[in-house]
Amino acid sequence: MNISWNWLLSFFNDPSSLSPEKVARDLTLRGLEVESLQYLNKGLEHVVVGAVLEKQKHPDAERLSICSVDIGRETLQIVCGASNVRAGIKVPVALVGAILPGNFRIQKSKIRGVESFGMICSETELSLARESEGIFILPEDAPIGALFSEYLGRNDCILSFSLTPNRGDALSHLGIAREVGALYNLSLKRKEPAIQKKLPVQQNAKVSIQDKRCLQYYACWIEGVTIQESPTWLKRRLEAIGLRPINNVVDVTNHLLMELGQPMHVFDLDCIERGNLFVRTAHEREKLSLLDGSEIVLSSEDLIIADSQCAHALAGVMGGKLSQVQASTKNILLEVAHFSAHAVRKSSKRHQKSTDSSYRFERQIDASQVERAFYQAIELIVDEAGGKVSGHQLYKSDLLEETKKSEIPFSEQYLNEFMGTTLSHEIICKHLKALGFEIRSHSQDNKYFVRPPSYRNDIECMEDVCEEVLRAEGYDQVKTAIPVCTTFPLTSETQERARKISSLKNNFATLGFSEAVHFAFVSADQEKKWGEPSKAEHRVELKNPLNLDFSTLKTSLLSGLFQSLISSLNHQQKNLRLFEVRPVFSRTKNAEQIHEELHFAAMGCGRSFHHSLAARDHSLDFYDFKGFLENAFDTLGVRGVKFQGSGNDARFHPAQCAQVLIGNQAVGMIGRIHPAIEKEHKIKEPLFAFEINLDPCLKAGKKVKFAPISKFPKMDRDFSLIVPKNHEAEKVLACVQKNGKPLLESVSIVDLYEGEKIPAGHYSLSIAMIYGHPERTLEEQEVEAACSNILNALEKNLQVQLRLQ
Amino acid sequence: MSSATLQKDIQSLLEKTIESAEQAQDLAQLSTIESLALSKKGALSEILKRLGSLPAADRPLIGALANSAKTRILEVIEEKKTLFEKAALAQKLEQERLDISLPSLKTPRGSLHPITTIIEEIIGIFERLGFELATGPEVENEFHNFDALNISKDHPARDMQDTFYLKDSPLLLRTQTSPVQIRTMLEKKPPLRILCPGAVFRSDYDVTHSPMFHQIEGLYVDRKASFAELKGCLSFFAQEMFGTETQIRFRPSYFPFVEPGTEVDVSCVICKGQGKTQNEPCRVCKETGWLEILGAGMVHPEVFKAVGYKDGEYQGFAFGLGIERIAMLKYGIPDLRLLFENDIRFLKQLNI
Repeated sequence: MNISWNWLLSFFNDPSSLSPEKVARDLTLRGLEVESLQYLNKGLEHVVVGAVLEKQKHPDAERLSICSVDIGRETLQIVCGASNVRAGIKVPVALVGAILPGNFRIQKSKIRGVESFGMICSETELSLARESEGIFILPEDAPIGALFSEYLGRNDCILSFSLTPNRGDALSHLGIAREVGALYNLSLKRKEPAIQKKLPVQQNAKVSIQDKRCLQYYACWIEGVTIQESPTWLKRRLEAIGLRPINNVVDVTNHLLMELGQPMHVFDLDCIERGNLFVRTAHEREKLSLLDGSEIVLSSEDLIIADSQCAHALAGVMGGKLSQVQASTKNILLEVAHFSAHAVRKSSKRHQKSTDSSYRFERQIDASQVERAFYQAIELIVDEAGGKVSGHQLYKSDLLEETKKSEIPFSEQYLNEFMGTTLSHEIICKHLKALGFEIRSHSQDNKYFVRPPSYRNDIECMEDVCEEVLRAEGYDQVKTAIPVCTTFPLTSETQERARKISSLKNNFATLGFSEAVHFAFVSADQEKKWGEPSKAEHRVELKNPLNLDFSTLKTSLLSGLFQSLISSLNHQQKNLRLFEVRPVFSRTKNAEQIHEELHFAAMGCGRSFHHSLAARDHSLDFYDFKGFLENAFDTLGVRGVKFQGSGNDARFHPAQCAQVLIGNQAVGMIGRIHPAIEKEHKIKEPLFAFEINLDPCLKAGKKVKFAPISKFPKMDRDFSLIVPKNHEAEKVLACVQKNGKPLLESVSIVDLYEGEKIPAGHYSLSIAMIYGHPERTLEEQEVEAACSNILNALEKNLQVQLRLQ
Repeated sequence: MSSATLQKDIQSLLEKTIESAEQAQDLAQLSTIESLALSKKGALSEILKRLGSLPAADRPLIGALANSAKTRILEVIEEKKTLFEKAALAQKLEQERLDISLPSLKTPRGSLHPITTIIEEIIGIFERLGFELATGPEVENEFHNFDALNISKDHPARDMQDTFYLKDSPLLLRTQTSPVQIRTMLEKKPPLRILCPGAVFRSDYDVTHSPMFHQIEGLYVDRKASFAELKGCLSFFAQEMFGTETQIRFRPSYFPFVEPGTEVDVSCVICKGQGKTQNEPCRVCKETGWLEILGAGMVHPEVFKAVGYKDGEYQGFAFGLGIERIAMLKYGIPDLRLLFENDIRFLKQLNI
């Protein structure tokens, strides 16, 4: 909201102690934030009105003329290049030393040998118009020597406020003036309207109020007005705050809206059937053409102003095109009303029309000032547009009583405890009174009742009153204190979870992964491609997405990682590793609730170590990623992780991916991205990825317990086995482990070989076993027995043979 | 045959052998020299074969002489051998010389996202004040996100945060981390000191707004709590976060779930509150010298009512701040969108 400094000062008798900068700073610290200050005369400080006395041709330049220009205190020689310059006209003259808009400095100069002491300006040069031809020729009555900005009425400063939605009372010059008055202890100067004593009651026409959402309605029928351009003072005020003047009557209503915060509207009376209006609920699908040229279809929840034929205004929001005041308008009907904030808000939202009027109604107007504003409006219209009041009508709803402010019990002690202050009774009362509160003492125990002023619709409880006192005193006046802790919180499950996630992230950062943060939503298309297949039927879509790229909540984090990877590859980046930790969403089976699970995903490509000698490095492969993931599980203390071949996930290479399980619970997928996807995006190297649901992993507790360290020697045994290809190595190891009990302590794979000397359909697997006993040295025969037990089982169960050298 | 001859022969063998050992070129030659002198069929044995022809009284003397010569030869050869071995080792090691300037097999360094780093830093500060972590879902209902926070259906405050709703559902994406306050208070009785970090969503996308961004919210509730204590907590935070020279300013503001409400500014981290850097207007604080960094206030009685706390039983304060803004200030990131583009060149700059 823009406030004109000059307009604001008109409320005070002696504003000499105020400056825009001081007021802006002080109001900001009182919660009315001034975002910017703009001096309208910026760049025009050294521009004056001059009269061209004489014009001569420049001896050495065809297009230039030498002018002598009278600027009151002296006559200047100025070289001018404009074709429309001539003797006898009034022009704006930028004097030497002026810095015009756009940081254009005017200096004494010689133009083709002729001295020039200033510049005759065009509208463009003064930043008054985007384009202009030639110099700006002023009306003949422009006073020679006057400051041009003063002549234009631009000696003003605009304060641009960013107000919080509770301060509907401050959405006007009066509202800001009240705050300024309270702040500096200045009384407000306001003219009382007198016209109410002379107003005739309307006999021939009537406004019928048929909807209780209209709380007050004041109508005035004025005949014989002259619609014309507004006087200069009125136009200047509106222009200064960024409003476009329209005509005298409309400008008066806009002026009062900005002065008092009271919206009003004027109908062309001749467009109203018999001059009768109805404030009523709209009919479903009723149509209304608005002032902005749009046509809206009303709903039965809209509140409108209509005549017996059709709708003429959407109450509190905007007037209709049909009864718009125009140059030809002769008779008018003035409306100054009070509509329910809720009704206006609903209509404004429904039809997406936010106006200065609806904005103020929504934030609640001062119910006690509507009538007074009405009289002010009539006075001003009659002053500016002439005409004769043929009648007026006043309506106040019974419900208006409910909007009256009630008393709030208030305790000084409470305030001081709650705020941590030691404010005295006198100080508190002084602040409250300055802000327009009424105070009624109750007894001697420092308790009293306060009643907020009619315009403060946001003050409802004691805490609100505390804020007002504190605001007036200044938040910075409150001394800081250290809170007294009455407990020490024990580490919660949430804390434990966060700690694990944090170490997981740190671990992955040291493994060369960069953490990514993507939006929670993607396009439906992306989700279809990258979403978790098992959740395809349970996706969550947004009702009102910002755009189609953000329409669906993710069920998988892979889409984001993939997009970022591709984009980095396109920027010639290599050896990429990204990870992300964030929730994904799906509907529960009965579709009523949303299931939110925390996912952890990583994706990467390129070389393992970024080593410059290829021989010393290798390209990332499945096993690197399997290792990264196992590393994650180690960090989280998760045991019993299994990888199970799985080929039905279209996102992954069918023969190079696995389902990840903890015990029997599937928690994720790992593998190479499907080469078809790689090809589609012209990626020349394989991408690997995994994604797991972190929730079950975070539940796993790492139980650390001491086990005695054996003093007895171990025995090593190695086997080279011939394994049929349909058995994975993991299966062989499991069989060895199971049958080597209880002496076999560990088994690991040392080599894997296929090719010559190995029968077709088989591969060779070399394993190393360690046998031991915690309490004694093993006998050779025991180990031999365990070995043959294992070999028998391998042969019987898996058709695995010992390889003969 | 006299003992003198034998003595002379031994002496001469000793001298000859030592001389050839000194001149030997390698281990093989040395071994030949040793064997020529000392093996069973070697020169010394040949000499001793003649021992029998000596008078018995002379034999011990000659035997001792032969032994000492043998010991001496072995000593010399051993010394020489050690020299050869040392040289051979030195040569071998030289051949194993590495170019130590070549790169290591170090795992490349990754990075944490600045949002994570800032959240952890803030948590670290408030943890020292006894605040503990609390979390909540990103998909919320209207009660937790609005109603319980004193934001009624037609409250203009709902305009401040245009909300994403789910299709075919009354649920929404939370517009603030404040619903976690409500959930925590519904679950637990005070005293409470919690911190709730997380992603929030609003329907806005331009240079300064992102449809998803991050907040961290703090809540303190106890039998007694005051605005002065709120100021104490936040002043401590500001100095920890931005440095001890940081000035802090409290301005009245409005959030429906607190009363009194306040906006908190810190002196500009770029121009140190001067409004200018090297005589150029400071763009970061728009010449005001202040940066708005958080919103706060005393918990509104309506909020306590909504979670079922008895009227007047508890007091509390809450505060919330935008993580992205802090990250941008702290690292000098000029554009909010960089934080969500996940350009690897950006992410790597902010190495852990």
